[in-house]
Amino acid sequence: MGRGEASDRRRIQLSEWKRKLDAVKIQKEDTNKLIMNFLVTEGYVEAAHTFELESGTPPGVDLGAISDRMEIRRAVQRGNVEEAIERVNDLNPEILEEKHQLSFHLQQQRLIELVREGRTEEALEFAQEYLAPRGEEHPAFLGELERTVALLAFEDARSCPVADLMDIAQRQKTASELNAAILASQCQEREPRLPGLLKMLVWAQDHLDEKLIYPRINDLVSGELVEPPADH
Amino acid sequence: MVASPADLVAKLSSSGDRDARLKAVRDIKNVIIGNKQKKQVFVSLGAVPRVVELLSCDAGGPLLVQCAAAVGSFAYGLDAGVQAVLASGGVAHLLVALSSEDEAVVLAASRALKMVYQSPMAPAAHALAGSALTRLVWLLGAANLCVAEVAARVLARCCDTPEQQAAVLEAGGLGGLLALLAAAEPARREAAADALAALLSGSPAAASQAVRRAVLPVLVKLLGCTAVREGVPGALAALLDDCPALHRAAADADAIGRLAAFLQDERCSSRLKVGTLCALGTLCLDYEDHRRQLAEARVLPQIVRALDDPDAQVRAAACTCVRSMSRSVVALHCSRVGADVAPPLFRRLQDADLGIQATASATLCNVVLDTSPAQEAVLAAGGLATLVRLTSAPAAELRVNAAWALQNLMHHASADVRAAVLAALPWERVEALASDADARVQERAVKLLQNVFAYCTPRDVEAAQAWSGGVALRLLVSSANPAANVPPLRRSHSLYGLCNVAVSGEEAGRAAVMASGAVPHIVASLSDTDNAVRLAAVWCVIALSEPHGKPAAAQRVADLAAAGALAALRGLAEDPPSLDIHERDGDGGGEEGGAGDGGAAGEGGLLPGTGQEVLMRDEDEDVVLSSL
Amino acid sequence: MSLATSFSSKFPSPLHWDKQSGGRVNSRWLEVTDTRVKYIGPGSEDKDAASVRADTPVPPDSSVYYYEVAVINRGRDGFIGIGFATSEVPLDRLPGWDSHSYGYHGDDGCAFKGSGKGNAYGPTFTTGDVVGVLFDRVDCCISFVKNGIDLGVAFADVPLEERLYPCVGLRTPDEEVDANFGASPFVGDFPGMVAECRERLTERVLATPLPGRGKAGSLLGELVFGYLQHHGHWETAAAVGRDVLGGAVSVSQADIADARSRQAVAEAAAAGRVEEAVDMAEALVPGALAAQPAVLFRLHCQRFLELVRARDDEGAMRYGRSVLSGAAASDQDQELLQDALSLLAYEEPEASPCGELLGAKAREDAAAALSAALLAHSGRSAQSALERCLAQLGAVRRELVQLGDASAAMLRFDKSLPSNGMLL
Repeated sequence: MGRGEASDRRRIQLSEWKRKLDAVKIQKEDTNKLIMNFLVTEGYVEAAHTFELESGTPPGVDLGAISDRMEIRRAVQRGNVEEAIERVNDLNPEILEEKHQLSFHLQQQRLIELVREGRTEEALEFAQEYLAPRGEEHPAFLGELERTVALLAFEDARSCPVADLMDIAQRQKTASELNAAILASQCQEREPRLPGLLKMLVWAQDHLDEKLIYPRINDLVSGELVEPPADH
Repeated sequence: MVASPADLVAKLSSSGDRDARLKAVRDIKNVIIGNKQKKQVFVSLGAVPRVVELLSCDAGGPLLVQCAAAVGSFAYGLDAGVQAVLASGGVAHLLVALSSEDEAVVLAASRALKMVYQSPMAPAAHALAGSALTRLVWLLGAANLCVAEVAARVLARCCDTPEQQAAVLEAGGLGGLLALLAAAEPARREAAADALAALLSGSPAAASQAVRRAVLPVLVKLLGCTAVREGVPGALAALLDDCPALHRAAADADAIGRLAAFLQDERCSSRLKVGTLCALGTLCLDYEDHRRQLAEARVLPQIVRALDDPDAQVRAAACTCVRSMSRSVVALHCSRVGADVAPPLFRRLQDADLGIQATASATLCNVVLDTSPAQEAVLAAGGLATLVRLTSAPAAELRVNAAWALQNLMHHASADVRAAVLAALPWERVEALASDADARVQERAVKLLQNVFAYCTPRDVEAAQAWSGGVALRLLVSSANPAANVPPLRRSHSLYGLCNVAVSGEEAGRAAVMASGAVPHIVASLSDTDNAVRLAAVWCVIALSEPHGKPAAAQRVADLAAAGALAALRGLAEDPPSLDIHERDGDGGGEEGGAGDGGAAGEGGLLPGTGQEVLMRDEDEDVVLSSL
Repeated sequence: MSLATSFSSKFPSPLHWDKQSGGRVNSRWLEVTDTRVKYIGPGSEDKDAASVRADTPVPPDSSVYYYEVAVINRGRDGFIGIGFATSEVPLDRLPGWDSHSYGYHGDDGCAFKGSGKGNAYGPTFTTGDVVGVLFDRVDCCISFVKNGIDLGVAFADVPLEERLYPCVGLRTPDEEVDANFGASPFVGDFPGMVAECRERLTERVLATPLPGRGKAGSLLGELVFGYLQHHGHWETAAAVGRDVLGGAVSVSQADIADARSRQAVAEAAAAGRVEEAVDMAEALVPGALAAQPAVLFRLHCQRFLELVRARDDEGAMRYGRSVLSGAAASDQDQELLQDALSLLAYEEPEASPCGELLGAKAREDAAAALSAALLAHSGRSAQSALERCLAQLGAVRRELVQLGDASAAMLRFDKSLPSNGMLL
C-alpha cells in the first residue's frame, strides 16, 4: 500500500464508489444544523431566523446576542463608531479595556469619520484629546497615528497621500477586527464548521490519493464526481 | 461629543433623576475604558467614590451594571484608580452584587472584581467571608464560563492565609476548581490551576498532595503553551511551595528549562519575571541537580540583571532565586556565580525594601563562603563597609546575616581578605555583636571570632589580638565558662576558638591560652553534659599538648593534669558518650599527630535549613580525623 | 475494548508479556508472570541483559497507543529499558540497542534508538516510578510519561510499517517491573493525550487551503444556497442570496414552481396515492419513469403494497399477477418482489417478517426514489452539492480507516458537525 507508484494503487470504478457513497447516511437534521451554524456564526441573523421558521432547526444560541454583534458591526460600517463603542462596552467592557490596538483603531476610525463629515475642527480637538495620548502610551501606534492625523493637513482628504484611510475598506477592516474580538470574548467559535468540513474533504481526498485511485470531487461548488483517468 | 468630565461627575449625584445618573455613569464608562489618561482625570475629580456610592444603593439592574463596569475600568491599569476603588469600599459592594438575582449584574460585578484583583494592590480577601465566598464558589460552576473563570481568578487572590484557604475549602472550592481544571480553553484551565495552587500553597495535608499532583501536569503543560499566560509560573511557584516531593516531578517535565526560556525572552513582563524567578527559586531550594540544570540553562546574566530591576517585586524574586542557587557548594566553587551576583547583591543590601535586604544579606552569606572570586568581588564592590554597617542594623535578621556573612568571609580567608576584614571591622562591633540582644547574633560573633583565629599563622594571631586590643582571647574565655549562663553551642565554639588560637599561634598561642585563665573552663568542659562541648574541650587538650616530646608541651600537659584533665579524660574513656570522643581521647593520650597544621575547626556554614551547614561541619571534622 | 488504544480496534491489543519471546540464551534470566517481569540472572555485563515482548504488536489500526510500566524494584543498578521493538529484534539486549527498537532507560534517562549510545532525553526513573509509553501513529513519534508528566517526544519519524511490540528489558539482579496494558486505570492522562493528538491533527487539517471561490464569489454561500434551494427552503435561500451572496444569485419563480410540482408528486407517493403520483410524474417530466425501470418497478411494488395494506387481497393478487411478476428486471427487483408477495400468505401481514414494507418508511423511500428520478431526468442531481461533498467526505474517510490510516481514524468528523457521529 502507498508505495507512491500509480500502478500499485487499487482502482475503484464509479459504480463501486457510488455504492460506497450510498452507504454514507447523511441526516437532513444534521445538515440543517450545519447550515444554521454557518448562518449564526457569520452573523446572518435574518437568514438564521427565516431558516428556523422554514426548517424547524433551532439556532442553538441567542439570536439577540448575534444581533448585538451584527449591529455593532454595521454601526462601524455605517461610520457610527461612537455607537459601536458604546454597544461594545455594554456587551463586555473588557474588550476595549484590554485590546489596546483595537481600541486605538476605533478611535482612529472615529477621527476618519469626522474628517469625512468635514467636521475638521472637531476632528482636530478629538485627535488631541483622544488619539495623541494613546500614541504616547503605546509608541507602536505612533506611525499609524501620524498617518491618520495627516488627514487633517490636506484640503481634500480624499485625494491626499493617505487617502486610503478614507476608503470604505478601512471601515470594513475596523469592523472585522471588532467582530473577531467580540466573538473571541464570547468564547464562541470564530469560524463556522462548514469550511472545516470542506477542508477535511480536501485533505482526506489528497490523503487517499496516495493509496487509491477513485472518483474525486474536484470542484466543491458543483460537487461533481470525476471519474479517475483510464489506465495506461 | 460628551459633556466635560466635571459636568459628568456633577451629574452623578446632583439630581434625583435616575436616567440622568445612568447616562452619566455610562458616558464616564465609555470615556475611560482603555483610556488611562481619562481615568486619571476622573479619579482626580473624585468620580470613583460617587460611582461606588451609586453601586451601593439599590438602584436597579441597568445602573448597577454600568456602575460595576465603571468601577472595574477605574481599577484597571491605573494604580491611583485601584487605590480609589479600594478606599471607597468598592470591592465590598461588588461582592454583594455577586448575589444579585439579575444575571447581568452578576456578570458585570464578576468582571469588575477580576479587574480589581488583577492588581497586586488588591486586598487579601478580608471581606470574603460567608455569603460572598459561598457565592463565588457557586459561580465556579456557572454555565457562563466567563463568569466561572472570573470566580476562579478572584478565589486565587483569596487564599493568602491558612484561615482563608480553610474557608475556601470549607465552602467547597476544591471541587469547583477541579471541574474547571478540565475545561477545554487554556485560559480557564490556567485560572483554575492558579486558584488551586493558591488554595493548596503551604498546606501539607496529604489530601492536598494528591490534588497538587493532579494540578502539576496541567500547569507544566500550560508552561509550554505558546500563548503563555503570565500567571502560570507564579501559580507553579505557589503549588511547589513547601512540597519538595513535587519538585522532582516538575523538574522531570523540564519545568526548569521552560521557565528559563521565559527569562531569555526580552519581552518578559515584570509579572512573568516575578513568577518565573520565584518558581525557579523554589525548584532549586533542595536539589543540587536542579541548581545544576538552572546553571546549564544559561540565564544567569538575566537573573543577575533582575537583581537590579526597577520593579521591587522582581528584585525580591531574583534575590530569592539567587539565594536558592547559592545553596549549592559545588555550583559556587565551579562557576563564577558568586562573583557575578555579589556586586548586585551588595546594591540590594541598600534596597528600600527591608525584605529584599534580608534575602540579599542571607544570600551573600552563602556566596562568600569559600569562594575566592566571590570574596574578591565583595572587596572590590566595597561590600565590606556595607556588611559592617549592617551589623548595627535595627532589624535583628539583618544583623544576624551580616555577622554570618563576615563569619563566612573569614572562613579559609586569604591573607588579603583577612586583612581587609580586620581593617573594616572595628573590634567594638564584635563586642557589640557578642552582647547583642538577639542570641543568634551572639552566636555569630563567637563563630566569627573562631574563624578569625583559624587556618592562619602565628603572625596573624598576633595581629588579630592587636586588632582586639588584646581582649579577643578574654572574650573567648569568658564565653567558654561553663559556670556562666552561656548556651552549650556557643561554649563549644568558644572552646574551638581557643583551640584555634593554640593551633595557629603555635608556641606563643599555646602559652597565651594557658595564661588566659581558660584551663579550668577547658577541664570542666571535659565532663560537660553536652557532647559538643566535651568534644571541643578534648580538642583544646590535644592542641595544648602539642608538639609531643617538647619540654614546653610536657609542662602544659602537667599543668592540665594538675587541673584534673587526666582524670576527666579517663572518665571519658571508661564511659564513652560517643565513639568520636573515645577515639580522639586515645589520640590525645600521646600519639604522634599533625593536628597542628590546620586541623582546628574553622566555622563555616550555609544558612540553616539547607542541610548544608551540617555538611560543612562534617567536612571539617573529616579533615580533623584524617590528619590525626 | 482496551483502554490503551484511542478507539476500539478490530485487532487484538497486547495483554501481557510473552514468556516465549525471550532471547535465545538470556530468556532464562527473566521470571515472567503475566504482566510482571523480574531479573534473576547474574547481571554483571551488558551481555547479561534480557528483554521481553508483549504477546501482540500495537494494533495496526490504532492512532494512539499507550501502556505503562511500574518499577516495582530498581534492583542493583536500575538498568531498566522501556519501549517498543519489532519481533525481529533479538531480546538479549535492552530495548533501543538494536535497529527497529526504541527504549528509554532508567539509569541515565537516555533515549536509545538502534544504538548502544543513547541521547540525553529525560530524568532517570527508579523504584516507585510509573513510566508511560505513548506511540502516536498520527505524528509518527514515541514519547514517554513519568508519573503522569509528559516528558516530550523521544523518537520522531518512527516508520509506521514497523510492527512494534511493547517491550521491556532488565539487566541487573532484582530489577522488577509490572506493566499495565489498560486493564487498570492509567496514572497518565491518556484521554488527554488522545485529545491533544487530535487537536494537533485538526489544526493541520484546518490549515488546508480551500480551493478557489465559486461563481458568485463565495464557495460557502453557494453551497448553502444550493442546499436551501434543493430542499425547498425558499425564503432562507432568498435571504442567503441577498445577504451572503450580495444578490449575485436569487431564487427564480420557475424554480419554485418546478420544485413545488415535484414536491406534490412526492407528497402523493408518500401518502400512498401511487397511481396519481405516477400520472403526475409523467405529466411533469415525460419519459422520466420509462428511463428508470428500477424506480418504476419500485412504484409498481408500492401500488401492490398499498392494496395489501387496504386488505384488498384479491386486487393485490390480480395486480401482482398481471403487472408485477413480469416487471421485475434485476435481482434486486426479484428480491423485493418475493418479499412483497410473501405478505399475502399472512393474515396479519403487518406482523409478518416483511411487515415493514407496509410502513411509512417504505412509502417515503418510494417517494424519494421518484423525486430523485425526476431530478435526474431533468439533468439535476438527487442531492445538493453540499450533501454530495459530505457523502464524499464520509466515503473517503471510511476508505482511509479501512486502509489502516492512523490519521483518518483519529479525525473527528463529528466534532465539526453539529450532532455526534453523523459520519462515523
